[in-house]
Amino acid sequence: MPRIEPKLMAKAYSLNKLLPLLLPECRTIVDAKRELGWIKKELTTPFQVLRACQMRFMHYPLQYILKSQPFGIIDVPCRRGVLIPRWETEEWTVDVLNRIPDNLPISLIDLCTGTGCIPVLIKKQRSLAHCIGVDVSEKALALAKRNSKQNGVDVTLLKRDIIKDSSNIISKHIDLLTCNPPYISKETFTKDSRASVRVFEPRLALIGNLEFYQNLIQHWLPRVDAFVYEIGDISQAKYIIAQISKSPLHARLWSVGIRSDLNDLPRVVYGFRKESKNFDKANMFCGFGRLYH
Amino acid sequence: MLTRRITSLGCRIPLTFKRLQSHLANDFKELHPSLLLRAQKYVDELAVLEQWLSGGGTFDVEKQRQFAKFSTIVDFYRSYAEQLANYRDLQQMLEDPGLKLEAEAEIQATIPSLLKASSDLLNWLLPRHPFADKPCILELRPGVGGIEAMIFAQDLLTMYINYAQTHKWKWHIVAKTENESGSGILDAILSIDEPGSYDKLKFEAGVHRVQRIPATETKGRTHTSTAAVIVLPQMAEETERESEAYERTFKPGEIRIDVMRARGKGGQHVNTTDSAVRLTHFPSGIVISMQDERSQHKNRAKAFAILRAKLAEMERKEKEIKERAVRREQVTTADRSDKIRTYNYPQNRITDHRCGFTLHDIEGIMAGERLDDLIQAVSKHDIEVKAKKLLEEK
Repeated sequence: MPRIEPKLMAKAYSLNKLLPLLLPECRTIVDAKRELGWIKKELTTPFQVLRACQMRFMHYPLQYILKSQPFGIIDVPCRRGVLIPRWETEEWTVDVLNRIPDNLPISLIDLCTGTGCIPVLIKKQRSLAHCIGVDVSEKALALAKRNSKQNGVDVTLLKRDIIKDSSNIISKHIDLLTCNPPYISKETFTKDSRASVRVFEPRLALIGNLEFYQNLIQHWLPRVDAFVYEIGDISQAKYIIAQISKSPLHARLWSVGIRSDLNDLPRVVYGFRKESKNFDKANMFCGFGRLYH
Repeated sequence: MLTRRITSLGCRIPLTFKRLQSHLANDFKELHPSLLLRAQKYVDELAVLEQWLSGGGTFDVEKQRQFAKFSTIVDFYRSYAEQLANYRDLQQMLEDPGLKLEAEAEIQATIPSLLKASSDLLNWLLPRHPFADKPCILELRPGVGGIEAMIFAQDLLTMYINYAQTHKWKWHIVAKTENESGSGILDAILSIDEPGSYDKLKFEAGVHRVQRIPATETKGRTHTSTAAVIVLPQMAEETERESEAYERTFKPGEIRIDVMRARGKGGQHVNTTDSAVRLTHFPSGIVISMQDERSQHKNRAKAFAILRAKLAEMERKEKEIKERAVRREQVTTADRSDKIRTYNYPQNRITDHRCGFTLHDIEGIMAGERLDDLIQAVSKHDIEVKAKKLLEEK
């Protein structure tokens, strides 16, 4: 990231003494001003605003300072130690949500749920759905509980390490499995991720490569009708597609596709059984992304 | 008795003033018989409705509304007819040399209320604007004049907010981009949530010109700058649910949504708030950017609300142009002329170029308190033009 020119800093300072503090994260004066507006809107005393700007100067995430992040129609609480929901996740979650029929009691499980943003949002807008969130982190579960309470919905939360043991989490059949697993590989972590992410967000929720996708193929495919997994790199989607088309058992039953986000990057790998109980998943995912298998 | 007193006063009225008044008297024109025929039709319909209602028919909201509308029109019609009869009697009296003076004075006294009655009636007889009962959205942009134009756009925004405030209307700023120094705006969208506010503010659309010595001017010269105002009808509330339902009415490929963000891998790699949204509607070429909220979802909903308003307004204008083409006429109406108003600060003057109305109270206007005077003048002018058009058609 190139440095901020002193000239720009001086100009920002002449407009508002706090703006230079926001520049390293926001890069332009217009963006810095907008962010200052948000900070001032949510924090009350000038001292709090000053502290917030100082923390932003140290690349501390805005969402941890303001303690929330909008996600669809809900506000998700954010705390240190739990991954902040991203707009890419919001985008595909809202799309999936709109495809869920609102008169059917579907079952949904969200692995690596973190703040619980996905199950809480879906439960909020589809009250008949049965939503389960699973995470390994104590902090994440506490925050997810707070999230569901704050938004007034009832979501089942389980503390499990799915990499170690995925077998006895739930016995009944699941309609939809969603997951935003840690997908930044160790090698690219320092190179590709921003300082604010690297320093202040939990590595537990960030660093991983194929283990969660492996886990999907091995343990979850037989038990679910459809899955939606977020990806950080096209190779992860390719892995899933390869695994499914390789196996004679899965190849016949499953369709798999990739969906890009609004920034035109592959963001989601999804799949569904060609024939499923409860309601037609093939119809549900029609036009969601591009099918590759 | 009263008449006599007025007459005695009238004697002392200076000649020029008298001439002005007699000019006013000549200015009154009876409404065209074909228009009155229309009004008569309402009287008949009202009679039918009254009969139906008194016959103990079941409650029907639509009928009730019609009844309310018809009875207002008929009330206006009756008051107009009554005053007109009175006026005609007076005109006849003018021929009698003995009564002439008194009759003249009497006519002067009745003219204002007669004029009002006729314009009220006319207003009801003309076809209603399709968006007349809608809330509205005002979009402001600086025109020529650099920073001074941005400051003026900001002044206009404040003026409309004050105007809404004086009427106790609900309003909120949908989007606003300040210029770098924060003295003016690059664009702003103001939503006034009062139903019917569109009808009042529709005449504000156009280019507003300001003449004053800008704050940025060091040598004391007067500058001329402009700002453009666009008035749109609010077709639906800007809630997420509404916008999603609306989004689904478009065919795939008609709409493109872009997020404005930097290169990089995105996703978990980045945690900045990238909530800005840009909406492109291909068939019309409309592009809307929205970035004020932290929530991308809300920005999107806002963008769709604006798109909806713009498309509705566009459709209305197209329809109007088509109708005009059918009639093969080129009449300039209030909403077509470009530079609509001048705000001249040194002279403390505001002139509306469509109807030539001038007011000497910049402060009152910018505080939103006297804007109604201007709007009334323009709308009166608009009614006259439309009535004339209607008569020419007949």
